[in-house]
Amino acid sequence: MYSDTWTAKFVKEKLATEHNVKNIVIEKPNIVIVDRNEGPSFTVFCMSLGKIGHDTMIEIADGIQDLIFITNIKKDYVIYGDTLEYLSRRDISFGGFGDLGHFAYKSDNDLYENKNYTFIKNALEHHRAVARHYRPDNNTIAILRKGIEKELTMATTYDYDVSAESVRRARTLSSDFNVLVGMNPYGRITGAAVSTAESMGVEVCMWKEFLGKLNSQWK
Amino acid sequence: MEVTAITQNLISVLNILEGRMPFELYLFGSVLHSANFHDIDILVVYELEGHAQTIKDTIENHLPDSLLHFTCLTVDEERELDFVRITKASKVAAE
Repeated sequence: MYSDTWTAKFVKEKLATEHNVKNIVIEKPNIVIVDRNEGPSFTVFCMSLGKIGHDTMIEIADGIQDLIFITNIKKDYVIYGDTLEYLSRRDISFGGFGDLGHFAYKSDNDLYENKNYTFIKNALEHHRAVARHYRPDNNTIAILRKGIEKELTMATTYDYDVSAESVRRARTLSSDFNVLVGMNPYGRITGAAVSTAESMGVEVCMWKEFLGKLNSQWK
Repeated sequence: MEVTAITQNLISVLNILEGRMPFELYLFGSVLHSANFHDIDILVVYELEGHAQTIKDTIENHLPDSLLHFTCLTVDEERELDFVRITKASKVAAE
């Protein structure tokens, strides 16, 4: 099973300052138990990988009793959609350290969904052009639009500004995508980001612009 | 980890890569203003495309137990966004 010497210590140190966290104990390497001020305790598996494989998740889910949350500390990572669905079916929440903070703040152990994904999902579900959508991985969303056969895949970046390196990193991290969408409402897109995207045959735009373009572009 | 320890590690990265590629490192965000930071925001200002990844990899090797958040901009992009001034980023440099 996955193991390291630092992620449980990192979580114990950093999560201790979050609201609603009463106590954190490292039970075993990579496993911590979090006591809330309000709400039930929960068991967390801590890890830090760039690419999170399905078999790794099965091993962790099968190997740890009463597992509630798996957190991945590394910021840039990819986990495929079928693995996320598998964890949901097992009632195990998954997310980065920020997600773990949100989860600890809740007063229950109900399944957690990443806030950024919830935001996008809600917007797409209310968009009149969108028929269906699904997640190929944690960084992309595939969208089927009404009356348009061709599927559109958006990758997201939460960088402060969208730079050439944001585009290159999205290409490395994500499944194939048509458009990279900048999600920071105050963010800008550099000229180099646009030309890098063009050279890869993809587009780049900000979220607000993307919602408008869904009606007419990428047919 | 304290800011001074983070800075020392970043100076080591500057020393290792010095002469191999031109770049600058900056710290910005909560790491400069709060004792209770989670992320370490690092700005890498680089010149050539392939260099950004090498610089990030070297930093990750020096700060393996940290939540690093990189912003990588070319010199032109930094100028275009005025990123250092707007974020009040602090340049990492040997004294």
